[in-house]
Amino acid sequence: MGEAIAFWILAVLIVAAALGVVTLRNLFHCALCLGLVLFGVAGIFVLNGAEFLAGVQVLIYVVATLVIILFAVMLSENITGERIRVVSYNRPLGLLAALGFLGVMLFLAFSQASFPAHTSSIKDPSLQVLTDVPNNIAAFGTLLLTKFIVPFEFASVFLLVAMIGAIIVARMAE
Amino acid sequence: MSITLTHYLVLSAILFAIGVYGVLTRRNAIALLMGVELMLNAVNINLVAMNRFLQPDWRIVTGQIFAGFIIVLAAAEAAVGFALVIAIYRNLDRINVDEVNILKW
Amino acid sequence: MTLTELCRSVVQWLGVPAEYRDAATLILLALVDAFILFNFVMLSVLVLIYVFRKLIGFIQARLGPRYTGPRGILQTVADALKLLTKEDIIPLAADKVTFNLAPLIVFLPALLVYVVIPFGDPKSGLQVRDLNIGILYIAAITSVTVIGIVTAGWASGNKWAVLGAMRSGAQLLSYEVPMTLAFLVPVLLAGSLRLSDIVNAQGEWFWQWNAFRLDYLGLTFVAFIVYFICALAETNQTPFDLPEAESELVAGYHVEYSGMKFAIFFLAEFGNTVAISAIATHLFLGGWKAPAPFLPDTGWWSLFWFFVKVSTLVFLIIWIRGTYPRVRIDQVMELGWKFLLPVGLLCVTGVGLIVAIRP
Repeated sequence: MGEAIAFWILAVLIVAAALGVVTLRNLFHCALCLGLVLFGVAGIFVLNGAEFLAGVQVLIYVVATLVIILFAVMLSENITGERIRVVSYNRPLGLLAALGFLGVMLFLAFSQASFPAHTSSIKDPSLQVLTDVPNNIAAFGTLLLTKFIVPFEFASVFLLVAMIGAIIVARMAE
Repeated sequence: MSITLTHYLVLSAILFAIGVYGVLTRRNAIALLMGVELMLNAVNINLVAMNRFLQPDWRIVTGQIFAGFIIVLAAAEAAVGFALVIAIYRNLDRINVDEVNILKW
Repeated sequence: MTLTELCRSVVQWLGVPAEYRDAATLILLALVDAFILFNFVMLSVLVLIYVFRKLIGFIQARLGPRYTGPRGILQTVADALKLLTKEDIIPLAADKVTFNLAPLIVFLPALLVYVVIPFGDPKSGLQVRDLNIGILYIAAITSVTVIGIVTAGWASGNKWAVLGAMRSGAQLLSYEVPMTLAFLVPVLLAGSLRLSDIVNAQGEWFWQWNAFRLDYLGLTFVAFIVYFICALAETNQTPFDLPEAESELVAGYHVEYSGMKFAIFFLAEFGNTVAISAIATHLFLGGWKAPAPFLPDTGWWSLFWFFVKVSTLVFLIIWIRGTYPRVRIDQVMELGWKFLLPVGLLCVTGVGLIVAIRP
């Protein structure tokens, strides 16, 4: 019962804020609505028992990515105070494409009576390390550093490369 | 009413479709990248919901780890993307993706 | 009778149908907790503002507020009344919706962070929610203030406000990284992100608190210092208050705010100050524990020890504010990236190595 109330509140918030992101004319307002969407998605993560991921979502998306967006908006408008106005082009075609996507995905979502369950269990050799984790965070951390260590290291190198690239691209011309 | 996997799939589908609409209709580069962020978040909702409903053991969080990697990579992509937008604005004084076409002959 | 039982009896008295009773109890409990927390934070900020002005006065060889009420106790009330009755001016070039929204975005994290902070022993019910992700929640929520500050600067439609907001945003984001590294040290020592686990992992004697432990080669004390400096920068306190000082950039991002909205910024700043002191006591100074095992620290005594430690840290912050000059913005960034970040990395690596090596 409580989950239903929370789900409906969050779903309405997410959809309304997402519509705000794609239809508002003031770019800063779009960015703030995106912040609302990201908070709503963090709430959905909490509902699904992914509490660590919810904290990570707020910490990375809302704090870092949204601030990048806000800085980009502020740095790319004339500092004299004219606000950036965003206009939408090709609205009917865009609507058609979006509704087409939506139709396909809803068809896939409703066409199966039930989705097949995962086949991995705690007795798999690579997952046995998870046998006595106390909570979701410990499970996440343990799995990340045992089974998914290679993607983890790759993500670290990727972040380093992205950071260096962003700094070089955005530097003032010497 | 109990919330099933279908509820989360529909929510994620709607969010994804809104992101597609945003990417296709907006010509401002920053607004376009915001639509991409919406699509990535829709995929994350999908992954986490499927991990919860289709994996009966709460300790196996493979879906959440996948979503975590998507968050990390999306942040890196946003950083580089917006750095590019700032660089383009600094050099061309406009960020309408239809007009940034100086490489076209 | 605990708060939960009280809410349940109220829900029953209201005649809520049976299948909604649990959800209604949870919602009512959340509302009551939020009300109590809000009142507590407002009262503590009121007291803190008076203490702050008196202390700054004494440091500056003057007496501070003296006339409103005996020894000036009612000064904050008078200030609040004054700010409430001021005219609410919105500049012509400002964006009305975001201009009104920005103080809210700055104020909400200052309140929300108190949800996970235990004011004493959680077993005595002195913590609202003991989240599994306590420290992560705190790090995430305190960083949402950056969005509010950047919005406030942009929405004012004033180029000085925008510059002040960008400087402040850059400073806040730069000090996020060493602060998160300093957070990691107590988490490594406790093996959990929950605040109650982190406090319980610290010993009973005061030399076993995280800040003063010698078996980690003093690296935890360095982490404490790093966290303290980063927290000062995060809450725009002196010596890092360049973005909001009155003599710099005409008060930076809140130059166009008057009346109640300015009061909200002010309240958020003081709320944040108490919050970072509370977090520092839990992470590094043993939380609600007494300095010696023979002193009582259960129930209301835990509240007492917690307040003693938080007051000490707040006094330290006010003392620093009255003593140190302001640091220039490029010096601030240099300190954050070139000094605190390597030191923070060293702390985390050192403590991690020792945790992994010891039996």
